[in-house]
Amino acid sequence: MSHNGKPGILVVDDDEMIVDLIESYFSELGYYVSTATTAEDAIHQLSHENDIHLVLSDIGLPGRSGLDLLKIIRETKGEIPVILLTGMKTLDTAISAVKSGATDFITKPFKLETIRQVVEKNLRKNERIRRKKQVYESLKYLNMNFSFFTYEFNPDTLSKELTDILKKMRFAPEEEIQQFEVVFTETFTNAMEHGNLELPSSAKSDDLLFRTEYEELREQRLNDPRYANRKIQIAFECNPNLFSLTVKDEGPGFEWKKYLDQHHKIMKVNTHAFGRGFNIVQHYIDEVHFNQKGNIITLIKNRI
Amino acid sequence: MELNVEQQNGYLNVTVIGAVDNENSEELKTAFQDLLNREFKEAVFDLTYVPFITSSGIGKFLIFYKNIVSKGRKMRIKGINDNLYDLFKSIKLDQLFPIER
Repeated sequence: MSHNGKPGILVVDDDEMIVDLIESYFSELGYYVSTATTAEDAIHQLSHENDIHLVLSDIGLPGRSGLDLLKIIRETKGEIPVILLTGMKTLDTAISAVKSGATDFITKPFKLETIRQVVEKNLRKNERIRRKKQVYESLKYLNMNFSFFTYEFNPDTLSKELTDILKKMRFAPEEEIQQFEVVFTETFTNAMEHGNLELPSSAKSDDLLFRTEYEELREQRLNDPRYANRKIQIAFECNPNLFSLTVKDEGPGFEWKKYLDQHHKIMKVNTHAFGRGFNIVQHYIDEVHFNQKGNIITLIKNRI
Repeated sequence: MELNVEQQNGYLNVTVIGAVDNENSEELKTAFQDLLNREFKEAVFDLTYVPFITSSGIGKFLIFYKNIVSKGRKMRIKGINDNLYDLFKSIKLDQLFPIER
């Protein structure tokens, strides 16, 4: 707010009596009131004053109409509330004006008390919208770091949490954000199982009936401090243009080059138990980088 | 995640409800063990209510496929969302069994 914290209103009507009446009423209530008798004058004031938080305008102005004024305000001032004053004759026009962007309308003859209620309701509403936008703006920047021991790490849980954060940040349409949960899960699982626990994909099998060697080994190593006490470090950053995720494990690394080049060359289905998770990551993510050793991966996804 | 199974005229109609992540892909494995014991000529998986599947979940479908195909049975996926459809195509799963949106 400005003018010592007072909300500013611009009153536009070619009937000077109405303008004076509304101006003195709102001035007494503590508002800063600016007035105009034509749309042109109103446009001039809006372009020179930054302290107008709401416009109260008659529809039937000489020259450019209140609807023309509304259109120009929407093009130049965004979502500032515009309340139209209308006689019964132009009620249909007012209704269609609301459909095309007017915030509200009041029919003449009116009570000043009615105008006050409508003005205050819309100022409050606009303030709520403005604050919400501020919150979302601040949510577009995020920088988080995590560190877990392998024995305590749950890839599914952290993936869900990061996905929820992206939803709150409105990184992309919700149905598209869900795909990142898969990306996170695959990346964390790789770091945990193939990195820190050093589980070989060759231990997986096609058996549905029995526990696989892979599962046995996983349980064994989660109870072996040499593997279980290794750490997974995660850095997650999001800004208006992209998010990036860096995951570092303490395993021996892997020959990432042969996997990284593979994705765009997939001609045949991979029915083996290795590389599929990494194919999924590459399908959804714009950039994938590794350090030389292959124990640090960075994923970058540009905002959709 | 839940599975609804109906058996009709040689078809095994399986509706999967919910995302398939690493943890519940183990439930999928248990459920698939049970399905393998049933008599059917084609298993039809309806994935309309599955927003995403991790590689672990895809792995279970592949194992199921390998098990039935060796016995001369068929499998099909239907109702899949656009995101998953693109992914399944990209990793060429459609070379193994039909995938319908």
